[in-house]
This record gives sequence, structure tokens and C-alpha cells, in this order.
Amino acid sequence: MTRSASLSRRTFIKTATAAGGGLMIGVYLPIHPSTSLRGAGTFEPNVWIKVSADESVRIMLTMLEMGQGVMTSMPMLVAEELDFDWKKIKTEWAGADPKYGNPNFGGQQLTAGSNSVRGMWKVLRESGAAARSMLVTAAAQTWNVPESSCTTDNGVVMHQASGRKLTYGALVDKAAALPVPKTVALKDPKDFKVLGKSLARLDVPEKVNGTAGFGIDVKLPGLLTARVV
Amino acid sequence: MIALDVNGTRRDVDVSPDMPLLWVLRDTLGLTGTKFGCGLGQCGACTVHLDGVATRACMTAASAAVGKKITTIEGLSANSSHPLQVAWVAEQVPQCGYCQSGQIMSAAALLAKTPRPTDTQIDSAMSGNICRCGTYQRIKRAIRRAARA
Repeated sequence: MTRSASLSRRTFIKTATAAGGGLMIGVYLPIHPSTSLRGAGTFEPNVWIKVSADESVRIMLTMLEMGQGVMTSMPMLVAEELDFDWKKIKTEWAGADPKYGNPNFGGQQLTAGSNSVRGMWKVLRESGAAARSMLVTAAAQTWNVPESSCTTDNGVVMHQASGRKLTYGALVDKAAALPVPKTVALKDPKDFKVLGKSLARLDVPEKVNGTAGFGIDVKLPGLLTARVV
Repeated sequence: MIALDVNGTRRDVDVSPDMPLLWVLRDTLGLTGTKFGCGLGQCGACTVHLDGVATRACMTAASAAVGKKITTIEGLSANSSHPLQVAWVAEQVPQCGYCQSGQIMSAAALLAKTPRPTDTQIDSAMSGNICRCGTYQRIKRAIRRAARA
């Protein structure tokens, strides 16, 4: 980005066209800096999920929204294993970074070929399951009870025997200090609450009032427009 | 300097009189809900209202909009409360969503003039709005739903 000022439109088109075999698909610009894995009041067990003390959950989207509904399907994958309200999961676009690669594309960041859910199916479910597991451990340690006696539902860890409850937000600092589990158990599909259901898309409201952001709407300082004519 | 009435507010813009209204709205005024699709009046993505009439902003010179009430998707309702916007959500119309501002503005102009359109009238009014995702069936259902509301 910092070098773009010295790049003329003509040079950009020549270079980009040559590199893309004559087909210009797009340029991805990293907008968000990588965040600390242990910010105060937040819990980030992996690059995909952040649980905050204010009971919010944010996940990173490595696929662009092209009509396939990633702003809904990706939250559903995480919500299922995290036991969190899928409608309340916020999404953020991932910058260009190998850590956000799609395993179906050998780790590349591509949005193509019906690979959004297929590629992220295991990654995001495991990310949600890991976060949930660590939140359960944090609660079990707080109460000094076995983890197996704790359950989760809709953003809350419960100890049924004593009726005690702690929200995910209240557990983030303790969970952040725990080791990330190497393997996690995923739900049996027969126990799915949200996956497999046809749910209302989270991006529809912004697409009926003009506020949805598309590539053409991005404004950056010093931005020039180049096109093949 | 040109004075335009955009969504009920007078906006003085320092643009060339022949600048397409689309770019005045998007680039000068920052109203990016109206989309550029083809620039030839062939796709409908840039549809706005001029005095209530569905108009392709890409083919309309800024000077041609002087003295008329310009309504964009941002000005259709305050809180996405227009019956069409409510119906669009209920029917889950959009996929990528790029054409939908234009679709809704064309449909709004239709319903303002013809509150209970027949299917033929809907087809006729919407024929100039293209959707690459192919959401036509849901668009039609949403217009029917809004007409009943």
C-alpha cells in the first residue's frame, strides 16, 4: 500500500494484467492489523475466534461474501460447537495473511468453487469447540468441580449439580491463561442445533437499505481508479 | 455549483453539469447504496427516483435532476421500514445484494403508481433490472407480499 503512490495507473494495469494472464480479478488490501492473542478482557484461543468480557464473540471471515452467505454460514459453524447464539456472532474480514488460509486450497485465501463451508467446516467447528472446552475448564477450575460435570448452553457454562452458572464473558481472562487443547471432540451431527437448518441470513438487512459494503464502495486515502478499456 | 434535492435535503455540489447523477451521488455525496453496473442504462443497478419515477442515474446528467426530488435507497425509508424492504427481508431476497438497491427502487416506483400490480405489470416494471444471482422469483414474491401489506 505504501508503495502504491509511486505506481502509475498504466504500470499497475500492465503488471496486474501480465500477472493474471490477462484476467484482473482483484487486489486484496489488509485493513485490520493482527491483534494480540491475549488482550485484556478478551480470549482468543486461535486466529478465528475472539470472546470478549462484554459477552461478544467475533470471528474472522477469510472468504469474501459473494452471495453464498458466509456472513451467516461461518457464524453457524462456530456457534454450533461453541454453544453460542449464532445470530450474535460478529464477523470481520480477515486481511491477506497465510494464517487465514483455506485448507481446501492448500492454505490459500480464495473464494471460489463452493469451498466456503466445505473448506472451513472442520476448521471453524474445531475452533469453536476448542474455545468452548477452555471456557469449561476455566469454569470447572473456578468451582473446583470436574469438567465433565459442567455443561454449556447459549454462552453460559453451568454446573447442574449445584446450579451455578458463569457467562463466557466472565471467564475470558481465566480461559486465556489456559493451554489450547491439541485435539477436541466435535458434536455428533444428530446433536446439531443450528447446522443443517435453513436460517435467515444475517447480511440481508444491510442489503435492502444500501449500507452493505462492496468492493466498489471502498475508499482509501489517495485511491485511484484503474480500468481496462 | 448545482443545487440538488437529495432525499429531502438541498445539496449544493460543485460538479460539471453533464456529470452523471450516479457519480454525484456516489463520489461527491457518498451515497454508495446506489450501484454502478453497466453505465449504459442496461442493468438497473443505479436506479433512483426523480420525482417518483424510476430513473437510471448512470445515464442522467446532474443538470437534468435540478428542480426534481431525487430519492435513493438511503432515502426510501428511515429504518428499512418501507413495505418493500420489510418484504425483501421476509422473503430473503438478496444473495450477493449488488443489484438489490436498484431492484427495490424500481419496485417502489411501481407500487407508488400501481399499489396492487398484476404479475404482468410486475414483469413489465422490473424487466430492466438484472440480477446475476438470479433472485427473480423471490423479488416477485416480495413485491406481491409488499402489495398485500
